[in-house]
Amino acid sequence: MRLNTKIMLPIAVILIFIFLVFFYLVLGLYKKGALITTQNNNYERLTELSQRLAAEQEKTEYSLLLYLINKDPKALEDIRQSDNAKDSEVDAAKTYIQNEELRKLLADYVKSRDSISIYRDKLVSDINSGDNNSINTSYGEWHKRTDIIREKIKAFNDSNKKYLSKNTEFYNDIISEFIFTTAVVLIIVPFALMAFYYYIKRHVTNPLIRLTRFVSKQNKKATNLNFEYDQSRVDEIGVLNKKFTEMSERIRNSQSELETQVMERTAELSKKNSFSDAVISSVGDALLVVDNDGKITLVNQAFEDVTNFTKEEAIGNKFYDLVEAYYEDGTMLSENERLISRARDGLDSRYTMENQVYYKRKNGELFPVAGIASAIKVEGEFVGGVIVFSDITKIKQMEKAKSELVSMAAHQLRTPLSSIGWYIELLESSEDNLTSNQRNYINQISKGNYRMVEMVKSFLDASRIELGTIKLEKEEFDLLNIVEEEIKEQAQKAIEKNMNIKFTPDRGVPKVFGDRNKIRMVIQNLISNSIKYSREGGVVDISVKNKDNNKIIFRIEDRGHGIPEEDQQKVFSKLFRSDNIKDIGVEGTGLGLYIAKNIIERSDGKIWFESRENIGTIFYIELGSNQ
Amino acid sequence: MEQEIEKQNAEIQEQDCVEKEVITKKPLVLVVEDDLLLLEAIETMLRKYDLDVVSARSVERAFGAPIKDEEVKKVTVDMIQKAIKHLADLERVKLVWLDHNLIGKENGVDFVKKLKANGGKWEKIPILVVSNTSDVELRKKYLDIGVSHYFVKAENRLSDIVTKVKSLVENKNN
Repeated sequence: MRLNTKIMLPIAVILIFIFLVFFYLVLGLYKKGALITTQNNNYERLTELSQRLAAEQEKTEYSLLLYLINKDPKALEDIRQSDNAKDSEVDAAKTYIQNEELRKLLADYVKSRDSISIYRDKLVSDINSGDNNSINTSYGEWHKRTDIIREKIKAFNDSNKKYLSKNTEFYNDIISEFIFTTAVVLIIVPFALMAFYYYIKRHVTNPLIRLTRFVSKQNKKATNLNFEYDQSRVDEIGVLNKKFTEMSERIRNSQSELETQVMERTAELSKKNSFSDAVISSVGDALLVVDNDGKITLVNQAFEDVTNFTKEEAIGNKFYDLVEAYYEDGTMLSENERLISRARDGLDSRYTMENQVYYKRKNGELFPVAGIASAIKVEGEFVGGVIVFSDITKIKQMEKAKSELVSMAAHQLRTPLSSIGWYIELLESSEDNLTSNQRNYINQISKGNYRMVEMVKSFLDASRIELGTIKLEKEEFDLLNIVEEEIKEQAQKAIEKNMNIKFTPDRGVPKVFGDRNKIRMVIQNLISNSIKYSREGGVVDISVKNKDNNKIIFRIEDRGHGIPEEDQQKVFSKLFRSDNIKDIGVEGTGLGLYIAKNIIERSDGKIWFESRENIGTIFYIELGSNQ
Repeated sequence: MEQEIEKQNAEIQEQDCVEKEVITKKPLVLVVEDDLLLLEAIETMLRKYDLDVVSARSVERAFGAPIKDEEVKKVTVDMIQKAIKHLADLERVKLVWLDHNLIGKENGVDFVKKLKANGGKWEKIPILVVSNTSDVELRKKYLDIGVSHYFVKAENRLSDIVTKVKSLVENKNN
């Protein structure tokens, strides 16, 4: 409620109260006036009565005189009638007379009249007797009494008049009192109150309102206007204005100080912000941040470039819904397979060349992607994630070109290698006599050629895997057979190293489901490795066992050089060869296990190992049966 | 092309009596290989195993010695004689040693298809593919269209392949 309203309200209440009082007074005056009017009417009636009584008195006296003169009985009759009329009038008056004094005067008159009737009757009898002396005496007595009655009537009349005029005067007083009250209540009081209100308004509320308006304007526009006020004022409002001005001056000063500080800080911050913005935006890979619902909250320029979605289209949308992800075979990744879900669940959250995951651009085009997601955690709670990814189309093309080159080169190498190999054979089988030295050299050339041929074979297998041209058959076969055949095949090498191969087959093993030739290649590689990396006279332990109902485990253990712990993670990577093996001069391409892992994993199997340097290595393969 | 081959076959039959005189007792192997070095090694080894060899470096030439040499641009008597001899030899071929990649547009697969299309005795002649490709698909394709064996060059000893050739040819004779 505004200040003015607050002041107005009690004033209005007071006004209403005054008006009520006024109406109450007016009502009282009206009642009083009405009473006076009734009284006046009574007085007037009584005056008329006294006049009639006086007239009747004269009539009676006149009738008695007439009787005295001519003894007319009619005169006596008149007197009697007059008396009756007077009595009835007096009785009537008694009913409405209210004034005690008048009532007494009327009673006096009645008493005098009662007493005069004796003297009148004596006079009448004297007149009838005819004795003049008695008549004179009686007449004198009667007449004396008539004077008294006249006086009584006159006194009554006078008193009446006196009250009437007194009442009229009182009535006039009431009227003037009414006029005065009206004037006071209806004119002077409201004016006085209004004047009071304006006085308060001018000296208290208006300065306060001005101050309020100034403050609110200041707040809204933050202007630096000066507050103008009547400086001559020394009362509380004046002091308030003065103190306010001082205070606002101080605020303004500290505000400008603060503004300067804020500007400095903002400049600093924006420098920092624009720096981190610049960093994010200049990250060459697409970068996005999602909240715990998977909704995008931030993307960089590379994201827009790679996906063709603008920042506005991206932000607020779920990353899963916006950018669809597919496997190479065209099946869509489920939500749980998406990077951010994997990061949230603490799983490996990377897409690499091997994953072969494709994202869909806005125009529907698919592109191969490499990326990594990291979970953002606050106090252990998952609140979102950062994903960085890139379009690896070009890298893939390059990789493909590289693999194709390797494949082509390897193919081309086969022809000259065949030439070398076959001419060596011709040389060996020639009937010309060769010296033992010459035969030895030829043998060395032959060995070198064989190694080269093996290398080319491995390169071709690896490049086929990379190009995806390798196709795995799905067939049922006996793993035991393959293992037995391979052991026989490589027995010669074991014998050369004076080694012992132990094979423990579990005859109840079910048949394996997969590509027979490729899996044979893997088995061959593992057996060959275990012989290669064992010491002279070592032992290789091979077993094939049934695990559960539909899993077959191939296990091969050697007591060879083992794999150093620091190299164990890299064992399955392409072209990797451990230093301890290179040192002892065992030949190899570093492709065998890379190929093996690819083949086994593509056959829905698992390959792993346990190894300790200088103790030995155990490799395991787990494959599924058809069941 | 096929019509041409039929025509040639007809001509061969006409001159049958003349050609029979030149026939040796040794089984003849047709070697289709584009690399001259390899071809020479193969021929040498086959001869060592007492086999006769006729060779070509392209599908076109495998089916007939050229009557018209593109380089010379004229037909000589020698050329005609060579062509006639080649056709006579073809009649005697007991086995084909085939490479996949050859000179010209056509490759080993095309050769096998043409050979099989001729029907008759050609259908039964064993074909050995000796290629530098170890591609599983290609191997499967050759075996599907009726090739007896598939060898990857360099991964096999020449004597092993030739032993195989020898055994196949001799089985044929029996």
